[in-house]
Amino acid sequence: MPRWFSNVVIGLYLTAMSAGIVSHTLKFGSASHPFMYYFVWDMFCGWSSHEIRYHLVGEGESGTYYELAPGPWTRFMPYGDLDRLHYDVLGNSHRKMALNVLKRTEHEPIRRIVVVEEVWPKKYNLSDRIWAMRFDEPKDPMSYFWQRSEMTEDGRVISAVPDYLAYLTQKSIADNPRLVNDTHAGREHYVLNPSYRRGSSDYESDGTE
Amino acid sequence: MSNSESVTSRIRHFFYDTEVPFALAMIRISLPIILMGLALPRWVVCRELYSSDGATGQLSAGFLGVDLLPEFSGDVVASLYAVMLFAMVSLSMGWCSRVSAFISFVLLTYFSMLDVVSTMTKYLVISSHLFFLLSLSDCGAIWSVDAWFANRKRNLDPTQPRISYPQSAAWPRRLIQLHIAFVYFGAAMTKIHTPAFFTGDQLQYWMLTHLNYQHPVGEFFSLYPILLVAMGYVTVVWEVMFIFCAWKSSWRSIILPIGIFFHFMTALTLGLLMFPMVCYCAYLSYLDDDDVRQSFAWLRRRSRRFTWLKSVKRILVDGASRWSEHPEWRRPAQIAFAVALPTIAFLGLELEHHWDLYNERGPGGKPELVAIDPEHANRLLARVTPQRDIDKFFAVDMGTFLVSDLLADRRNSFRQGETMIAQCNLVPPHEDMVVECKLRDDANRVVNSMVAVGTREMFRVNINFPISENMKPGEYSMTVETAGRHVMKKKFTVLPKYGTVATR
Repeated sequence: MPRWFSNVVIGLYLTAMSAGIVSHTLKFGSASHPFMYYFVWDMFCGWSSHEIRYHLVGEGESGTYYELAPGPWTRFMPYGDLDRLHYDVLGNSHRKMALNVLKRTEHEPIRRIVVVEEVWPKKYNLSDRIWAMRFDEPKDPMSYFWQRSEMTEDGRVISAVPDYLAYLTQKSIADNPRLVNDTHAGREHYVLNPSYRRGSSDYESDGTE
Repeated sequence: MSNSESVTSRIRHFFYDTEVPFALAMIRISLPIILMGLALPRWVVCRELYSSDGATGQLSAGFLGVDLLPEFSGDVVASLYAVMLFAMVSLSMGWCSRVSAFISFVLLTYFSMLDVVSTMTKYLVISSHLFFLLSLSDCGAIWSVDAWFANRKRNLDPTQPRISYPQSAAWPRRLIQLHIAFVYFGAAMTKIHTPAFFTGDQLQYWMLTHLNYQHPVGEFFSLYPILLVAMGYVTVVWEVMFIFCAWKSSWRSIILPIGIFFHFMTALTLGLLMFPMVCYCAYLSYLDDDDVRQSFAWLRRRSRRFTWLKSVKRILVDGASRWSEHPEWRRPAQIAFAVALPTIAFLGLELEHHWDLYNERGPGGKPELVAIDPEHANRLLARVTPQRDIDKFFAVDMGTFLVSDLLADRRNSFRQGETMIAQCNLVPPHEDMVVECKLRDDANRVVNSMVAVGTREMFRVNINFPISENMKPGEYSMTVETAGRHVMKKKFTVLPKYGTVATR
């Protein structure tokens, strides 16, 4: 291999790696392109105090509800004992998964597809033995079910809301009456930007229509 | 001026000193074998994960909101996936090593970018980097099919090995070393950006997460957040220092074993299995000629004790010698590789058809959609239940002193005269809350009560209770309430200032 070529490879490679580190450290452009994923080392950057699972539910015209993921074929559990849909934290693939299952199965006409989050505090993941070491009261786990989005049979999104934890965060802020009043004070009645025309009350703060 | 020359010269030596590519050969052999643990289970479902006949989850969707990569039909994907598996096997064997490494790099990168949901991980990113660098290296120069078919010089000097190993510039190995060092440095920056990492909360919750493989040790460690904080600080310091200390010096013998231990613990506490293996594989790049020769000499000394091991070694050496006497097979081997690629693609396609992932070609045609139990469906689709108070609190613990705002001596018995700290751990996100702790005696009478406010950004509320001599030795309980509603209860014992309850 010619020396000039190896020099170029070394130079480019170290430049790319350094750029990734600088970009990530200074929080500048680290999510600007998918290739940045190959040069930004943000392992375990996020965390949550709640465990989350997803359910894709299809409602047939007869009123029967169907499971739209995983499909009724070989189950694939990528990292242990959970189906693939539970790893789609951003929810970018749930629609595709549901449509793929509908395409590959026999079923009655489907009225709507609903993406539901099941959320519970991670403390309930403690085994009974460890729970007994730390708590005096018995474990009383409870899941919260949150409708994240609703689609038509062909995947057209009818409604979508932020995830349950974002809802809790928003709710904790909206609990402050002064802050809520301040958000209404001094607002312009007429703004030229078309996105402001959609009205003010189609989505309540508790996430319901 | 002389300094700058010296630096240039040192950089040149660093990248261009020649060496036998022992380390690269070891990475070449081990990395594909490790990745088979990920690639083989996905083979069965490659149509669903990576093709337009399935449900891909492209990496670009999370960055740009669009699918950037082309998606091929299930048949094409089945063929390409089989080619990728074959390339990884042939790379491990060292058959057309560079081409195999390049095919593995391109296809692994492509497939992982197509499925960010269940394939793409940072260890696959590291693997892609390693495959890329291997494709530019002489990793197949030794211990490989390529080496068996190569013309190799024979040493006439009896003090040297019978056949001399080929040598090449060190830069691909150096780039792998730098790569892993950059990864750790970047990971340290990530931790510095994450305040909850240094309070132990992030690690505690990750250890309770049931998304990765089983990790019961993590659950146990989550009981000791102070330990997690200490380990967190050690990790960050180690990650920052790695790029400076991992080079051949006395520091290396400290830094690398810490790395091996660190990754081993991530397997036990977080359930990460592949990540440590891939990192161990990359660590092989820190072995140079001398290290490998010394290791072999040590192994030779050890093997002399066992006659059967010596005979196995003799068979292997003789076999390798016989193969190396056929350099004329090199060209046919390359042609066979070129023929094998389309053959494997075809076989992969046929095999995948035979599997019939979606059960579409069975006697009953397409499978029926699975109905959900109506009661379960009603639970799923019901209006969200208001959050219970108990779910805003993680636990309440008691102790007498704090380290890093965490209870250092979690316990349930206190002597008169001590100050008990009640630590209420909150589950974020939560609203601003009034937290009231009440101490009750065995007759359920409130003997003390204190109130604190847990604002929304707080992870824990600490309330100090002096255990005065008015509190008689005996059994007590502490109840935690918010807005007058009971949340949780914890029992504790008050002991006399000196001696035991029994002595009184």
